[in-house]
Amino acid sequence: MRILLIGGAGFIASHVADAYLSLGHEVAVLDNLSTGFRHNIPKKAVYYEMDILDSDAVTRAFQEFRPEIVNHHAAQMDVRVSLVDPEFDARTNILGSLRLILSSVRIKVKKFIYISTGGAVYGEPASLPVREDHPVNPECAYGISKHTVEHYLYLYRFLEGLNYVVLRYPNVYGPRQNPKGEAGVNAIFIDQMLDNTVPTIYGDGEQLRDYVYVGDIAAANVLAITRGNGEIVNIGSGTGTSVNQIFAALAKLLNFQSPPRYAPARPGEIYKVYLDPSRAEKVLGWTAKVSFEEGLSHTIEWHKARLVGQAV
Amino acid sequence: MRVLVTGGAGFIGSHTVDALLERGYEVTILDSLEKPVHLKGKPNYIPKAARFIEGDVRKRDDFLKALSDVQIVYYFAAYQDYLPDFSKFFHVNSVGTALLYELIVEKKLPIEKVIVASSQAVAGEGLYRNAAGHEILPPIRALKQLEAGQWELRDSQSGEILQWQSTPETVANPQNQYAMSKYSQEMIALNLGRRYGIPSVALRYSIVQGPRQSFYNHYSGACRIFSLAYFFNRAPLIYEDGAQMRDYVSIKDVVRANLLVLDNPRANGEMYNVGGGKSFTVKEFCAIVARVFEKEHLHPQIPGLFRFGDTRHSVSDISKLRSLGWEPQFTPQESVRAYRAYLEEQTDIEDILEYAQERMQSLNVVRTACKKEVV
Repeated sequence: MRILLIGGAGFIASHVADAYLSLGHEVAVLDNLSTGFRHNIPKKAVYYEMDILDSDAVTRAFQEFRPEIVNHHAAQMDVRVSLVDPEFDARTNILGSLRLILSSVRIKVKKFIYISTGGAVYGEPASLPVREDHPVNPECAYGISKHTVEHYLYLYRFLEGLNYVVLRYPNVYGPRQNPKGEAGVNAIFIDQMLDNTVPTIYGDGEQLRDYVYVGDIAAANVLAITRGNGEIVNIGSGTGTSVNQIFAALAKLLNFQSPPRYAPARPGEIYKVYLDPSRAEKVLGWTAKVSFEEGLSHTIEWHKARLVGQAV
Repeated sequence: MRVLVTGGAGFIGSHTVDALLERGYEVTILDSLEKPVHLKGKPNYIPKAARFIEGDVRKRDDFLKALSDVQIVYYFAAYQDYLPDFSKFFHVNSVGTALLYELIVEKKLPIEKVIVASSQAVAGEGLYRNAAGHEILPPIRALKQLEAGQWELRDSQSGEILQWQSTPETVANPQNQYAMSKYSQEMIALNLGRRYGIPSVALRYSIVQGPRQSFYNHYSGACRIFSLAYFFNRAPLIYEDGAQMRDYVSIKDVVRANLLVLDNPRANGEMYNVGGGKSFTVKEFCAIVARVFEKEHLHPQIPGLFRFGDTRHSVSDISKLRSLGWEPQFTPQESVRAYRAYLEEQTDIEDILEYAQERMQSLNVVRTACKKEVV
């Protein structure tokens, strides 16, 4: 299949690109490199350097590549930016996505795989693990903008028959996650520990998140090509891990002796969220397979290789 | 191993000859040095290492002589202007190719591979999509539509504008004598090749760019036309509204494709688009040429002229060739820079100027004139 991967220069989508290519799919990456990196794009992928808000360019890329599947990973993904500049967030995440949906409808794309967020659409969950039918009560603009696109997908399936599947992601970690980025406590802690810097934990460190290894995430994207029609599914492990637990696990793996530094909790952060994956199993046949320890050691190896300039 | 390159004195042929020699093949060139492409006779870039036969692919004796000791044939000989001598297109492009297969079969020649050069023109207007999302192959635009300045292809019923798509090899909708002759050439090569066990490949080139593109060709090459205009300090003329889509491929990438299909047995019996992979409007391409020649102050003229028979958008889908591991490596900027360097090293530049001016007159580059120009 011809798959257009939006945001494919980023951490997660570049793994998805690798997975698609290894299965023999034709892949084109569309990315503006705002947070992604050129070196993340597989050599075998066609590359369109453009912004999803440049509607002429996007239309042209669709006409040129004629994708059968569109996989949309591009986003303004910084929760704090979304609160400081909600208009920018909405332009990128809502209008940019709408452009892609309309282009997909126009060329009769077989499936639109949309990446949403399980960490930001539900707000502070009333029950854990969170199921997809939990009320949507975003506590940041990012959660609103990501969720809004789910409505457009529903609409265009209804109006034009655009088939789609929405993957609501957990906290994804693994090789290629940028430790200098805003998200990714694992990457940040590993980077700091390897550099002998004491990591800072915001709040009491007991906040819970759902961590899934990027290889499992790529597998979900592979399954989403053929499975799930007009569905929204949580991609998660079903268990919460605290920041204190992460710190302890990494300190052990890296033999890091100092205790963490604690700083005041950041306002607006969800305290505890982890996702119920039973629907993903039912709809996609997907479950997380890589254990947290295993995933962390892969990630550590990559960071070590990166520091000596050998990471891929 | 000896390779025959028909049309080996020409643009694509000569670059392929160089690459073959570099790889250690022996090369025979069969070329008729047809004017006006070869207005100045045998070009000086023809390597001494190649066996050069001045002859005609339409002539049995010439072809047979050229095929002596040969195992591989590239058929680049072509008649390619858009003049109304219709039969000549078929004689050179189709009948010449049929003659090649005839000789191989009749004389039991030990030919291991034949590669023929076809053209994006075979696709005609190419692949479009209507508002309902269905793929269609529209016919060429009516003269009346063009006279009304309606450039885009429209749905014949609803009148809605159709959306162009990159065109895969499965599409054939040839509209003019050149395209029809090329289409029949593809069929001759692939079908006779299959039938008689002669591994054959057809390559459909998009707009190919680079040095040695003839200065004297009547039709081909926005690169040449825009380059000459800027070189001689004139504003080039763009037809229609300049929003026509094209894809441009470097001669270097074309040569890589030519060698790839020679090496790779998976290519046997197949047809491949060889294109740039990226679409540019004619206006965008003109701006690229202007930048390379540092003549950005000379804005192109876009007075709404048109040439009847031009396609609106022509963009090839190159994913099939990509699946063999080929990817365009050179940008249009690089091709135009190479062309500029080539232009600047010409010694008979005054002749080119004179010729170009003459041509520009008739192409309305320096004259603004009537609303249409029929070619």
